[in-house]
Amino acid sequence: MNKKIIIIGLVLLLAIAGLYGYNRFFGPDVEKGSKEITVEIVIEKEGIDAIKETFTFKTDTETVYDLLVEKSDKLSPKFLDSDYGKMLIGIMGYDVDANSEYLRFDIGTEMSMTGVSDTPVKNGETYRFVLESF
Amino acid sequence: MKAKDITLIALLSASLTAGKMVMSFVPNIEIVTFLFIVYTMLFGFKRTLATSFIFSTTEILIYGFGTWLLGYYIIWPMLILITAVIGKKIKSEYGFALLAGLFGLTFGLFFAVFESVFYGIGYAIPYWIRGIPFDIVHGVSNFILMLFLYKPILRTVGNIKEKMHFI
Repeated sequence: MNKKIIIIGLVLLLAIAGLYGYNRFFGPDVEKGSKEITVEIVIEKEGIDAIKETFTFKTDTETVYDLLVEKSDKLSPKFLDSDYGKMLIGIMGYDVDANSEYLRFDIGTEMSMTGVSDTPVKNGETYRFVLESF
Repeated sequence: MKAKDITLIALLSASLTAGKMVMSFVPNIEIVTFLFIVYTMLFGFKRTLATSFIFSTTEILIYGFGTWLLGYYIIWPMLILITAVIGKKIKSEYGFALLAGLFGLTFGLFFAVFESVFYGIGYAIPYWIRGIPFDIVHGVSNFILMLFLYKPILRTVGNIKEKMHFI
């Protein structure tokens, strides 16, 4: 039994080292301290008043998810927990119709390859949420 | 195939589905790998292979069709085949623990390769990388489960097998 416990201990240590290494190489490249960023919201759809707003925020938050939560008084985000992380399903009072719409998430001029909870907040960056239909 | 075999396959598949459901609240800790290895050692390649097909089909009936479920029709038979081939050479639970651990560690890689057939390599690589922490948990939990449970479960199910007069 002792031999088994020692082997399990070693395997757990290896696993912890593996997870640590993973976070070092593939984890979000978090920037600490105060940052100034821009958030743009573009919601255009027939039959509703278009929302086109640009905000400049100062924040210490580390991920875009944390930022949206911190600024919820202005942005009123709504999230859904999915297998892939937090999914933004509503913003500034607009709830997406999950059957035909989604909120595209851009970083600068590029569509983000990561979700809001995996995207680090970078000083000077612009984060854009655009309503899209499919 | 005898009526006794058909009954056995039904029972084994039911135990796999029940085992998976019981553990489903813990992400990537599962008992299916463990049971497939034990069943292959006790009931042989053919019966366990048939069990894996019933199990995978039941998964589709429960969760609906998805490309990942098609992968089940390959990955479980692959585990059963590997166990059948190398199982008799493995003398202790440590060898089976290593097999189960490696299987868990490479589970995400297999599905990344499999899903790349449908969605391309651009989808597969991030899919695999994102899942590495889950694969680590999967591998480690498989290893520990096998190390502690292999001998007692093999003995218990082996006794039941003898009482049922299975060869």
